[in-house]
Amino acid sequence: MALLVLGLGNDLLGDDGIGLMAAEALDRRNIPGIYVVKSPLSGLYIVDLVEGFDDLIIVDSVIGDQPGKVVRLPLDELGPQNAPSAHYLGFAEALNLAKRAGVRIPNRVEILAMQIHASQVFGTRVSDEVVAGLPALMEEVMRVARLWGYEVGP
Amino acid sequence: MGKQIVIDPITRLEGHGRITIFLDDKGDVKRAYFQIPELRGFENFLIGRRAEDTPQITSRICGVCPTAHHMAATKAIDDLYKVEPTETAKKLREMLYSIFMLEDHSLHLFFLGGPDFVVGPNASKADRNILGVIQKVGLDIGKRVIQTRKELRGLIQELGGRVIHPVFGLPGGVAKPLTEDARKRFEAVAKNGLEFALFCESLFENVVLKNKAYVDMIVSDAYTHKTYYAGLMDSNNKVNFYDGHIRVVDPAGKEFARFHVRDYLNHIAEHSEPWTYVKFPFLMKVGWNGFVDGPGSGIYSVAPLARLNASDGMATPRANELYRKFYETLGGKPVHHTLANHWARVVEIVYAAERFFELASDTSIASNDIRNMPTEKPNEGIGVVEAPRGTLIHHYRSDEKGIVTSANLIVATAHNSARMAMSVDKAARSAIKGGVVNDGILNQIEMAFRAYDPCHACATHSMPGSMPLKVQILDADGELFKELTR
Repeated sequence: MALLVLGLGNDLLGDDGIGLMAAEALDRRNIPGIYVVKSPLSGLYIVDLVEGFDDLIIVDSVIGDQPGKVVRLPLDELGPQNAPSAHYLGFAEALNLAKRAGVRIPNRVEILAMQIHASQVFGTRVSDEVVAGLPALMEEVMRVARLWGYEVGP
Repeated sequence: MGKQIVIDPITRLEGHGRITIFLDDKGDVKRAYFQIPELRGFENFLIGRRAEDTPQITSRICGVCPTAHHMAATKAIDDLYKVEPTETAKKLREMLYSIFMLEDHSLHLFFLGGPDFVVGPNASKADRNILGVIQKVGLDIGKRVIQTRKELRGLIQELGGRVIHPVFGLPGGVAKPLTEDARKRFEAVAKNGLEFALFCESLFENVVLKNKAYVDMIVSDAYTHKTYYAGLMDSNNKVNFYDGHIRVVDPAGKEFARFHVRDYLNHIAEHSEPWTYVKFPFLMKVGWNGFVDGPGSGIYSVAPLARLNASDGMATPRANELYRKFYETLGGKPVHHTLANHWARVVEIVYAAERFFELASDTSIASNDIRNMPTEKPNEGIGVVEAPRGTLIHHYRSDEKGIVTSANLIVATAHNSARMAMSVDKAARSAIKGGVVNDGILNQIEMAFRAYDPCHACATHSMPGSMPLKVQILDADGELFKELTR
């Protein structure tokens, strides 16, 4: 069994960097059995990163009215199958396309997203409320990993 | 009572990629426009950063084509430091860039152009037929596309380093040489890439070009605009993605201008409209005459079709044969049908693969002479490449220490903004009459989206995911009147 935790985000876009920040924090813990990857990319590029893993936890952000709150995003609620353009190809569609094309994508996928402020500005600073949600996000990652049978410690 | 219709992509970022349609008192379309992203915020963000970091920083503008921004910025900082890259560095850069174009274009063709074979507003029977073909061969094609992409991505990562923000371009050269062993591997992948490109071409020919209904759709009036076209050309006026002069042809296909990117401000101006913050670039020497086509309007476009129109051919043999066939089939140069972009892309896929193979087969590319060190004081630099979706210009000024003091980025989507507004306008006019909105408007808007593939600039790797189209019809008071969602 191989578990990938993939942190997504853009570290130049304020709160959007939280997914990368969470991945970094997790990477520092050096937990055996968990691979950690960070990426600013989108669309089919994501497929290249997740191919071959059995299980996948995505750590990302989503605009919401309670910045710092962690939410689960069910994969099958992430939008239609056909994107109008490469610039709008979402993660769920990319995985779906890859699956249909016979790529070995993870069996289990959990998407954990931190709610962030709607008004995003260019800058490297993640807001305090969002950073405050980091421990809860990390704990949720560990909980899912344990649930799936990974020995990640306490 | 005037109404406003807003088609708003549900992205995480507000105000990006929005389509707005204004109706007049009779409920007919008064004006429609496509609101492209505001890059000013990003440009401000660059101020105070080191110029040599711009290739890494700007590659984070877009989660879809980071390589294009990386390369445009790299060329801009060559210019800023007044240093010419070595011949080896130029070859390595162009090879990396050809790999990127091959990968991005083929992705677009299969995964995004594909749906267009079935989404045509007029076609039904023929399109279902094409859908059948796609479905029948889908699995094998999908596997092959994904496998080839993976190989190509692997090479791009090898050149840039397997880190979150690859380092490749430096002022005067590149970060590391290609060993002879690596070159041989690249050459082997290039050979596969070339076979793959030819496979793309034959598939497109069999599935699309042999279907009269689809060809009729390409040449139909929808999204046809007789504008000027621009693209980067080599000294023989053949399409070049990495370097050359910008050439502009008029709506009759005659050369109108040919200039170095350093002179772009003498050729391109920006028009403002009171109803949007979007700036519409136009040809200064023709002038802005509203959202109309023809030789008297300075509106121009970029992207695969524009590149082919602005050129005298392709620099590699097979691509050049396809180029000739393209114009023979579509009735001569220039071709004004926006939907022909998909076919033009196929011609460019073959060119990218042939060029990649040429460069990877050249043993001199494995030289260690990869960088000229800058010795002069930096002040101003302008760089240009052809991104998959068109001409991309980066322009920086810096102080003596190389700290950025101003930045101006013109992305492909910006060059196309006026023409895109015209396409949206045309689609809107055919779908909205007397206040009655035909649900087909979503299809038609989507077609325009796919043909231009507009950039929304910020790396929204995108939760919640995709961009469902949403049409909001608002009355003059801003009240919601009707909503359509896919």
